Amino acid sequence: MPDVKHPAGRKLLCDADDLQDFATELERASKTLPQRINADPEKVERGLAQLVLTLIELPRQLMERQAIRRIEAGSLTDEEIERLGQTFMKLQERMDDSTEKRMETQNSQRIKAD
Amino acid sequence: MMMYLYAITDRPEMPALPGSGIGGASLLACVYRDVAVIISPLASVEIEPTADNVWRHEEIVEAFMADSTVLPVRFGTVLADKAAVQATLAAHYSHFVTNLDRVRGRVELGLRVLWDNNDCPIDKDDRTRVAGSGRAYLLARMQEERRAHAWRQRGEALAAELDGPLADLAVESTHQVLVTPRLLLTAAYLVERRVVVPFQRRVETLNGAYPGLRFLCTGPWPPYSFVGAVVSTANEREGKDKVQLGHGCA
Repeated sequence: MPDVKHPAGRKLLCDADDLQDFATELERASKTLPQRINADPEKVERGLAQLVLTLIELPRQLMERQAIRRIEAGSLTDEEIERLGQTFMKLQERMDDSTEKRMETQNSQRIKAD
Repeated sequence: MMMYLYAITDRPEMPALPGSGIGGASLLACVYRDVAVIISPLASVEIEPTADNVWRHEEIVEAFMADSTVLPVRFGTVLADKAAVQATLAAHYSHFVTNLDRVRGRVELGLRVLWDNNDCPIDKDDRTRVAGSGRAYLLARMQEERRAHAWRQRGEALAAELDGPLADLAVESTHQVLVTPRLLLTAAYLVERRVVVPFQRRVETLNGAYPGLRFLCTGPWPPYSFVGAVVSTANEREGKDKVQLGHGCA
């Protein structure tokens, strides 16, 4: 049951015994919003690496969707579909590898810091 | 001395308020005609967004909300000094009065709805890894796109079923659908104070009618989501002295 002595507890208008689930999801939602850049040099570096990956990933996804629309519309030849598919597949593999490496670097930095 | 801002109110008299403002200083009212900004002096421009600070801000705004109409100012808003506060209030007086009229007698209610086990195709970690054929890769992607599109349409229809009957009780409302794959609906409703209980009952009815969903309804809040206009002072070009009303605390 919510703590009604705390101001947050008094704000609940319906039964919600599983507030932690809501908190977890709201935290995920907040990560989809623009964050302030932190002035800590290490964090800035990590933030920029993430930004660069995002900037590459967004047009890749857009171009992939455009290719799918063209397949649906029947405006690509078999050869073009194969060539585009190979290109997008390789791009995705590169992105997955970059993301994986970035995660590994972050984890090792965290372990060193601990 | 720098000034921390809490709210703009149409009733400048100080209510009985336990404790002090953020940072321990006394609360002051900076008055212009029939409108006032509630402020307190502050030693540092950086305010930590701790739970205590955020709730203190909220308690102060709500203390004024009990007997008057308020426009909540975004947490962490600081102006250079009392003269800057006075200048902002005078410069945007008519804007504040218009917004005070808009929210008078009304409060904000917040709603979050979780959609569990919704079989979201986006949320899965098994993105297609088709080795070899480029054609097979793109066709697999196409199937994923279609599944994702159908899933989103299902979510949007469900969210509309929930939001419709609640928005009918509100003067204004705002909502977002599927901000994350589980967070089906994130909504805020501006309602007359007398509508809070009927609204609550309607949420309970929906809660019973949709056993696969989980509802979190909160409030009453100051109208954070309905006073989002940014008001800037003469120092805007230098990137300071900017007052943002609201911020979706609910």
